[in-house]
Order: sequence, then structure tokens, then C-alpha cells
Amino acid sequence: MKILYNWIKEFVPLNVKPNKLSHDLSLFGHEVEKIEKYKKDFVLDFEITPNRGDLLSHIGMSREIASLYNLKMKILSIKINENKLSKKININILNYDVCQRFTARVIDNIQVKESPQWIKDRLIAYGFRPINNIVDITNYVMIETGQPLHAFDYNKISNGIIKIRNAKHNESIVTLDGKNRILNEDSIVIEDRKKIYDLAGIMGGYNSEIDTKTKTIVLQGAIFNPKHIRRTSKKLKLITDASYRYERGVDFNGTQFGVDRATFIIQSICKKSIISKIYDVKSNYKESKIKVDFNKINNLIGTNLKETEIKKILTSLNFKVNSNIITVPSYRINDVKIWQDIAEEVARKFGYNNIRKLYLKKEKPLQNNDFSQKENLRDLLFQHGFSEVYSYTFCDEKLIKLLKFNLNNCRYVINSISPENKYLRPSLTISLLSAVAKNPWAPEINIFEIGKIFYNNKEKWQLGIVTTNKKAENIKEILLKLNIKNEIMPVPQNTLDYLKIRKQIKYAVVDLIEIKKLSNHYLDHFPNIEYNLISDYPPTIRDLAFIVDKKIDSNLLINDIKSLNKKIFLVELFDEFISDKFGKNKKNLAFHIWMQNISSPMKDKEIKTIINKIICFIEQKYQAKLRG
Amino acid sequence: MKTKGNLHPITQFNREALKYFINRGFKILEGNEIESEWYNFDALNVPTDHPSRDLQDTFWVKSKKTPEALRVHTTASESRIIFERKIKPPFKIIVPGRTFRNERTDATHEHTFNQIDGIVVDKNINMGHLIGTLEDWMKTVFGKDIKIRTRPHLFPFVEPGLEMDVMLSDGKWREMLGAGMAHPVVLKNMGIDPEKWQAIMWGAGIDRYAMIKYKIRDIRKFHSQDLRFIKQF
Repeated sequence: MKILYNWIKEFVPLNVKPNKLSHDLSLFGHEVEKIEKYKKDFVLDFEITPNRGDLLSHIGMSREIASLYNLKMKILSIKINENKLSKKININILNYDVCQRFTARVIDNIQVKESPQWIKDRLIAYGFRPINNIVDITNYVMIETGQPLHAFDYNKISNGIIKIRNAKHNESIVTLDGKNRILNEDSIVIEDRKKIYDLAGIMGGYNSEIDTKTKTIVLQGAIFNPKHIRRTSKKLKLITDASYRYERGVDFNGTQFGVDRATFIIQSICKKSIISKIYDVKSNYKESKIKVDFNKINNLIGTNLKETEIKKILTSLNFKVNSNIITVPSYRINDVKIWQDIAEEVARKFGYNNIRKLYLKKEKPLQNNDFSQKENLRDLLFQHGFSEVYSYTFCDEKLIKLLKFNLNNCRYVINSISPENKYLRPSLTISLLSAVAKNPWAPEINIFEIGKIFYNNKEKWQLGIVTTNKKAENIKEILLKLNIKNEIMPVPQNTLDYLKIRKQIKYAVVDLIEIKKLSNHYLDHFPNIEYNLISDYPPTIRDLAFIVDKKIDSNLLINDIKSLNKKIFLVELFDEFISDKFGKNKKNLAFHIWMQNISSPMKDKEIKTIINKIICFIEQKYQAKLRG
Repeated sequence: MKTKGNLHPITQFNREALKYFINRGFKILEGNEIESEWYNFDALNVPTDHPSRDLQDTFWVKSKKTPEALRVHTTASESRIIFERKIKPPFKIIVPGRTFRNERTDATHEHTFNQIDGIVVDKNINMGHLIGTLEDWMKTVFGKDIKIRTRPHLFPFVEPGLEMDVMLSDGKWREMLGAGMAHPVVLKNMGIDPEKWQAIMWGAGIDRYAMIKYKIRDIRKFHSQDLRFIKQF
């Protein structure tokens, strides 16, 4: 919702700058997403939450600003010169549930033409395309007062008949945009004796549209049921500025002001216009009253406010307070319904950041068995050299078939992002294989995942492990530790071909429920890792092995190698082996050196330079020897 | 000697983030990733015919029975577990887990992400506890020097509701989490009498936290399965 700063100043005596205003309103619950300059004005773009339909206008926002700064609203003076008109209308609401109020005036002798510049400027700043003076004024007044308005060509409605009713199943109307809309009982329509001519609250009918020849109009401001507008708008995929406001609730007591404000502007632009009396057909408005307990309010929001202070706050927000009965202003009845809503109003005005902070006490941790079990399992795999991946839950139908899962026993998303992401994985096998396929350059792959799978109407936790280790000894070792007899499987050649995997891989999947309880001591250190960006180009990986004294910590070498050149983004120890064949008290350390350029592939020459630099440095610093 | 592998950054971050609540006696619970329409929305006071239903774009899962969806927040699981297991107040529960939104993805938006939801039900627990506790948690995770502010905000499951912003050394406010005092309808649907009890509750999307912590610029890296990414952790 866009608000023009200078427009606001017409309603409140505001003396804060746009930046300060938007900061204060953000802390009052209305976040300003951006501020833009438009000609001599500032346009503030707000995120208005769906409960605050009353703020979708300049007057609505002005009321809120007046409450925030304890200012008094200026009253717009509107003077209308009414006349007797022989052109009459007959308003007939068949169902007050869908239309609670219908207010209108007939205006004769108008002239449809271009709007004055001041109207066009404000509409453009808001985001409307100016059309003609009549349409522009209805839009102008909607964003000024919050009341959606519509003008019909009086001569296109037979006998001035305005009959408002639910549409019938499969009735249709051609709307202003020229599209034929098929309706159902949820929709609200307006008809005369011959035809439907309005899709109420959403968009006017093509057959009652204002054109350059229009001389007489019916100017309408009404209240429609938010649910009916929402259902129709959703069904027709048609969201308009009017439907957006009706869905969120429009002020029952604001229709006449809206119609009169627009009439007043028309009267000042079309000097010869003749204006009818006001027509106003409405159901009974029932005031919304909420009983509150001031102690409960304090106890919920963590304040210690006196009754008088709470009353003062509520009065500033236009609530009427009569001992402990609070009357909600008519423009907020869709939002404020229970005493907790009143409490929020009090907290908002008091200032969330002024509430005294309290803390939860430290306590002895509870046993969280299911959660700890997964964490312990993760640590076990981590200790055995496996890296953890998180894969998407969604998967490719072809893989499900290749791996011989029954598609009929798989679950799928009705509105998936793409056909390849329709199914939910029936096994972690699928996730792990796709992970292998994503890393064609990795020298060896040892990965695992713990996640949910969906098969045979069950949702289960599963562990999946995959390795490029030829005999899968590392998986065997883990299964042994877990006391699980699951099979370690090779992957069928056709699946490998489909995924373009050129490595031989073996995998195992285990349902978590089959794993006995693991000892409870998961890792509790949180290193400060700063992550290096990844290039869009494949990495270059070179292996280097050094013979060093067996007391030297491999991490020292890893850190040293990494700091030698920015292009080295990862140094991985893949072998550490102590043996006398390297000399007394010596060991072999072997590393994968991962290198990249962020925006280009690595060149042979630069790879060579980096590798030589590493060898030189490590040999000197650690009295190491490169292993040939 | 064996070389160690890598724990996913979200796993590591989760441990660090949950530790705060574990040390305050919270019970950790996890639910299902497929959840009914009722627990995703209606039980949480998000009615069908209301625009607040549009706040989350949902992946609907084909179902023979009542409509089901991939959970849009772990609050859905929280609500089911408390109701079905008849958990009696006072209690403190934390629900970590994977959540889904049917959104276009880019460097800052992802359809699959991870949340930590929490709820504390007690007689006199109030907004002061809510703001104090979450501030303290943010400081534990991001450091003592950060600045924090709260703003009123609408989440249908809470009343009053708030959003918490954090300012790190770069001087920018970042929206970090949504929270509030549990709405009486939500408590009732959990099987708790809202006349006798009140509750603080919150939901936090932790992928974005981990991005800040580890300076990751693209949220899609978390589920990329790319070992160049994973092996850095």
C-alpha cells in the first residue's frame, strides 16, 4: 500500500520528516518497505497486514499517525449542492448477508474528460493509470478514504433499477476488461430488469461502463461480505483494488463519506453537474463491544499500567471506553474481536520495546531420546569420515522407477514446482545417488543423510550411506557398530548411466527405528567457520603427500596450505599413515587440494605455480619431504 | 588414524541454537513433514475465507482422505503433538524441523528450509518473558554486541504478535523471527484452557541464521548436495 506524504499532511498536522515517520510507523506495526521521491512528494510503500484493511487509505493511515503522535485529525469540509432530479434509482438488496449497505447518488449533466493534473499526479504516484475524470475520481477517493467506489452510466441501466443479489450457478457477466466471467452462488451481482451489469465489489460490467458520451452517472459506495468477495476473486483469479479492500473489510460507517467526497470533487470539476439526494439502503449496524479485565491485560503484555493509563491509550486509538466495556471503532470490527486484541493495542501504544524484559531460568536438561539418537548417529558417521548432505524431499519419477519402487505407493505433490519434483522420495537411496551425480569431480565420495522418506502410506526416518570405497569397508564397519545386518548394495548400471555417474558406488539404507540406542554424547563444539564462495566452474583437485615427523598435527599443514593462496578453498586430509618405511618416527600425510577461480576455469600455469609454492613452503617449514 | 567427515552446517547451527533451550529444560519434539490442512491452518486460527491464509504458499500432497500438505511451519507439528499426546501445562517445548513453501527460489528464497518453533505454557508467562528470552537467545547465537528491536506484527496464531529485528556489525536491521502470545483459539485447539493458561510462542527460520553466521550468500547451497560446500564445514 502506497501513501503520499503530502497527502497525509492534509489530514494531520505532521511535522516529522518521511524517514522518521516510516521508522516510527514500523515500530507501531506498519513496516515501510521503501520511500521514493515523486515530483515534490514522497511515496511510502507499506506492508499492511491482512487484518488492517482500515489502513488501506490516506485517511486510515492518517488516523493511525494521529494516534501514534497524539495529534488531532483535521476535518475535511464537504458541501454538496443537492437538487431535485427526475432521474431516480431504486435500490433493492435481496440478501443483506452479502450486501450490508448500498449508498449512492445520481449525478446528471457531467462531462467525461481528462482529469486535472493534481489528480493525475497523485494517481500515478500511487500506481494507477489515469483514464477519465469520473473513473479517476472514484479511484482517488478510494485511496483517500478507503471506500471503494464505482460509477455506472445511468442511461445504460433500465429504469434506474439496482437489484443486488447472489449470482446463480453458471450465470455470466462481461467485466470492464472485456472478459466473460462465469459465476457461482458465492458471487454478488447487480441487475436491472434485463441484465446483470456489475460484478459487485470486484469489477464493473462492460455494459454499464462510463464512456465519453456519458451524461448521467450513478455513483456507488457499498459494503459487501468479505468472504463472498474473497471466494469469487479467488475463483476468477481476479484481484482488483476494490476486491483487495473488500476482502479485508471496509468501514460500514464510511460509505456516505466516500460517495460525498467523490461527489464534491466531481461538482468542483464539472461545474454544471446536477446532484441528487443521497440514497442509502442498509442493514442495522451492530456495535462491537468487548468486556475487558485490566489486570488480565497487564498480565498478558507484562506491564503494570493503571486503569486510567489503559483507558487513555484506548481513547487515543478511537475506542470508546465505558468502565470495562470497550466499543470498537466501526472501521476495526473485522480485526479487534477479543480482549487479547485490545491488549495488543495497549502494548503497541505503550511500545513493545518499553516492556520490561524477563528471562527463563536455567534448568537441568531433559532426556530428549529421539532427537539425541539422530545427533549421536550423525556424530558416529562424522567420526568415520562421512560428510552429511541435506537433499530435497522432492524427487524424479524416473529414478523411482529405475530403482524399482512402486510408483503407486509413493506420495506426490499436486502443485509441484516442476514435473521432476512431483514425487516425495520413497527412500534415501534416491537422494544419495543424486548427491553422487552432483559431484563428478570429487576424488572419493563418502556421504550420508538422515531424513524423512515417504512410502507405503508411511513417513519414516531413514539413514542413508554411500561410498566410492571399492569394498565398502567403511559402511560395513558402521553397520557392525550399529548391530544392523542390512545389505550393502551396488547400484544397477542403468541407474548409474541415467545419472551419468562414472564411479562404482555402494550404499546402504537403514530405517532409524531399527537402530539400538546409541550412547549419549554428541559433539558440543561450534567452530567459527567462515565459508568461501563457490565458483560456477568445476574445481581443480590435486593430491599431494608429504613425509613428516609423526608428532606433527595435520591441521597445521591444512591451515598453512589454505593460507598460501586464495584460490585454494579446501584442503582435505585423505590419508595419515605411520610406518618405519618412511624413516624412524615419520608418517605420511596425503591431501586433496581443491582450487578454483570464482569467475573462470583454472589455467594449467597457475595450478603449477600454486602447487610448487605449497611444496616449497611445506618442505621448508616442516622439514617435510614430498612423496613422489 | 581416520580422517573425519563433515556435519552439515544446518546440523551444526541447530545444535548451537537448540542448546540454549535445552539448558532451560525444554523438551525437544519433532513431527511429521506431511501434515493435515487442519493442523497447518485451521487449528492455528488461519481460517479458509481469510486473506491471512495467503501468507504461506503451500505444497498440497495428494491424499485420499482429508487434504494434506507439506507443513508450512513446525507450529503445525507443535499443535498436533500437544493435542494428541494430551501434554498438560505447564510445559516448555521446542520443535525443530524441515518446512516447505511453494515459492520461487533465488539466493534468498528457498522452498525447503528449517525452522525452530517454541512454546512455553504457564500461568503468568507474558510478553516480557517472550521478548527477554528471544533477545537472550539471539545474543547467545550472534554475540553480545548485536542490537535488537521488536515490532508489532500479525501472525494469526498469536495475539499480541511481534517480529524481532537484529542489527549486526553492518548496521542493517534484519527481520529474524515471528512470535507472540498464543491466541486463545490456538490454545483451545491444543487442548489447553485459555481461561487458565497463557503461552509465549515463536517460530524462527534458521537457514537464514546460518547464512549470517557462516557468511553464506545463497540459501540454495544448503540443499545443493555440493561437496565443495559441505566439506568446508
